[in-house]
Amino acid sequence: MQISLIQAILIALLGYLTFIHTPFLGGGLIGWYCIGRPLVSALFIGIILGNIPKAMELGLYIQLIFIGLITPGGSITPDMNLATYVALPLGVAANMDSGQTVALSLLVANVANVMATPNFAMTMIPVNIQKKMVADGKLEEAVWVPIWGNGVKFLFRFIPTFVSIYYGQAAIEWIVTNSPQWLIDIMTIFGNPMCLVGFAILLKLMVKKPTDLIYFTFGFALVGALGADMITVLVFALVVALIQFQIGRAAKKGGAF
Amino acid sequence: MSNIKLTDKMIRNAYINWMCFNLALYQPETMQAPALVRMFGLLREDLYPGDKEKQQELMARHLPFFNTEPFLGCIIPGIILGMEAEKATGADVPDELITAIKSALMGPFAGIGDALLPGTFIPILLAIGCGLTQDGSPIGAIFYMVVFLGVMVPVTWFLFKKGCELGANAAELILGNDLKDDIIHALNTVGLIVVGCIACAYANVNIGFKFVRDGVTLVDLHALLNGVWPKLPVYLTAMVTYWLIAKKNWSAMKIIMLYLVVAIVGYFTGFLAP
Repeated sequence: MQISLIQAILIALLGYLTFIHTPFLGGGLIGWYCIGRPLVSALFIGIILGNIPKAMELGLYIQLIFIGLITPGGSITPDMNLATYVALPLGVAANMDSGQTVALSLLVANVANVMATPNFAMTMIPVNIQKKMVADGKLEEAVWVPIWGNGVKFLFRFIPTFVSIYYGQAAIEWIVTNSPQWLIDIMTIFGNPMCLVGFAILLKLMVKKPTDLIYFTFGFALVGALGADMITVLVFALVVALIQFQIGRAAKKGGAF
Repeated sequence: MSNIKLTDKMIRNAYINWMCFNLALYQPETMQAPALVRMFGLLREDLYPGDKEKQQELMARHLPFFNTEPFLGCIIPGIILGMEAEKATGADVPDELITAIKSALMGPFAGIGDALLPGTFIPILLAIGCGLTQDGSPIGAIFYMVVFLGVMVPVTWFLFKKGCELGANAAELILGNDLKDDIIHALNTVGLIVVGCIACAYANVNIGFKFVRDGVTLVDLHALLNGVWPKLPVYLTAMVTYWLIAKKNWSAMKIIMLYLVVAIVGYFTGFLAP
């Protein structure tokens, strides 16, 4: 199928609205952390393109790569937003399989990182204007800076997304029909362990002493060796946490528990 | 300017604007500060009616750097709003105290917020949502939206409002209470176990190396390692990645480049399989 101009505009707009820095769709809670998750984005992209089942099927695989994505202050991480809003519509349009879609989304996620630094640099312009307005007593104007200043982020989201999906579809169809198996295989190997990067960043925050890694290993073993499902793991985790909490309280009270 | 009281309307206005705009002008220099300036700018007439000089001071106070995990950490703008309202009634709340409380709280909330929200709660919900998404059904996406917003909107509103009500007392309660250490420690443990579970369930490392003689496979390294301990290759990859990021201070980008090189070399040597 062909992505029409209107569809490309709607998808690029939704991509901008669910970007981490966009305030207009209820901020990060409704935008970035809810509709912006690839699994949820897939539903909306599917509605726009009129093919929900295919979009959900591919969205699921993109979601799995980014399930552990953490974006701690200021650090540059793979660009899940652009990856989702470029690879998913193109995947639906060109009827790509999950492996090809994952490969394309990883490619986009990493290439898109070149925009992170210029994006931050250009954001300094409205920030400095706001500073100057407060200093000059233009208080009402200063309040409005975060609204129009977000236009910088719009440029770095809407344009690349729109251009990639609207003008990229012909190229992608060609690549999909001509891409060699070895390239797809390499991208699959590359993508398979990708969620570990996000988890490693998280572990850096959470592991206070080396023995804390045992908890990670415990969760790993529950699934790997015992085949436990998510809810079961959560129950075990809560039991361990509760015991640890009670021991901690008892130790501070100085009594037995 | 004696009878300034935070009304529900003011708190709601501040909450909505914080929740929407916290990252709108995010950049490495002052990070989330422009959103605080907007939040207080919108309430400047309520806090200091007609006093332009005080209004300007109020907004200028929040121009410098501020950064935390903006959603669970929304209790901090709440606390600061409570303190600013108290200051506006004429109470003795020095500027330094407001800055000190912001600085003291933003680090802990950044750490625990990232660990709890994108580190634990979101992956759990997504893992369940992905499990529900079979054959292109949108039910997993709907499940995620309903549960995530159904939990997070009330929780963040509660935190923000509590922060406003308690003001500086909340900071004292959080920083001076040893209960918080035990709670954070326990939640950290839940997070670590869940992360281990999801890493095991969703990461894959397939080793393609086989030693074959006369058509008989003598050594299948993948089966061998997984026989020692299920998903051992994934576990080892996770540990190496953690070690490089935490101990060698590698950036995420550098790790991803390493993964790419390993994937290419692994594919052409036949050591790794898709």
